Amino acid sequence: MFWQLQPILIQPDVIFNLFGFPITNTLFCTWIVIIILVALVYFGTRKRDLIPSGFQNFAEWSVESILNLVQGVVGKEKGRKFFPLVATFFFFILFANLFDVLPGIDTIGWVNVTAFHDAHLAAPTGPIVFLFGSASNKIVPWFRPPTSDLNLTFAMALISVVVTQIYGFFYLGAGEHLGKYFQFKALFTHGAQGPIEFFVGIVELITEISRLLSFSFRLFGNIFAGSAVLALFAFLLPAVGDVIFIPLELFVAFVQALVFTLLTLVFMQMATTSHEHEEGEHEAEAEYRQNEEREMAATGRAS
Amino acid sequence: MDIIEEKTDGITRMNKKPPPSVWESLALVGQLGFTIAIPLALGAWGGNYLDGQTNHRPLFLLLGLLLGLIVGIYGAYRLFARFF
Repeated sequence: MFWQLQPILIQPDVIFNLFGFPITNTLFCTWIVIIILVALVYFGTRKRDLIPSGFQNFAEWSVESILNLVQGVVGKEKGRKFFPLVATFFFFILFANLFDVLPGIDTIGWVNVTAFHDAHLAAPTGPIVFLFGSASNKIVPWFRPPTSDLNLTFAMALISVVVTQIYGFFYLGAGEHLGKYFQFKALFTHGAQGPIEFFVGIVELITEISRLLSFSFRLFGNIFAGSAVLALFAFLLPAVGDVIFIPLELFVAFVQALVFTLLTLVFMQMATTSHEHEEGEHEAEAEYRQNEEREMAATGRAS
Repeated sequence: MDIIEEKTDGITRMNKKPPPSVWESLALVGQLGFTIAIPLALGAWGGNYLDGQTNHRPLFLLLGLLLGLIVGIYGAYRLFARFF
């Protein structure tokens, strides 16, 4: 036995204490992601040439693609309002997800003294130790993908849902926004249908709350399972198995970041359009019509 | 001929809402399963909990499942209502 499979834990490990707070490996990696993002933005906007080249070009291209995507979903005016939050979600989740294909994840860390103690072995001491054989899984890893921690994904889902509600209040006003969920007016105006309308409002409120779970569990489940699969195939088919799964995980990392972003956008769009007059949709429709006409003109010219 | 077909096709499409992009569709379909499953699971869990508190073994479980089903179906409808 050259090495043993890491225990696959749902909860992250505590790697050190800072001012009495336990710092887990996922929190540590969250800080690394933040530092990477700040550095990328700093180097991407340092020179700010009018004709961008090199890294600035790439940074502008990626931000512009996200802006186009956002405006394609919610229209021009709202797109600029929602863009800062959802773009932050996208880039943060993307970099956090990409952590699970980096070398060193789950393999660099402290010697797990309690695991050695439980196995009735003497824990090795020294500044740098290589663990082989049955001792190879007795480490507390320093690095773990931040999004494989349910605390982080739940916190982000909470931000997404709460900000969606705030935008709902902002665009529709408190009365109309709350009126979606508590349809007291319908009780008196809709006659026999009133109680049903009221019930539908309550059902709507429950779907809002269940979104917290769907957002957090999807992201957590995908990345946690992804890193478990990578660890498992590194163990079962060393050097060969992960050739298939690393590209797959790169794709999953991108798709999950995009899915979280787009769903946040879609629900923001739903929360900020009222049932009666759907302005945002008219705007999007007009834009779509323009595009169609342009497309038609272009194909007409071509043929 | 092709141009006429394209034009009429364009006109019928103009009256509908713009179709979502590939990524948006992917996200929405991914959300669909959760939208149906999570209220059902919550309803079953809540019903089971209430059954344990009171002495009506299958009653609240069934009511919870029914409520979860209604919420799930309504949520799925709301998710795609924009495209009808």
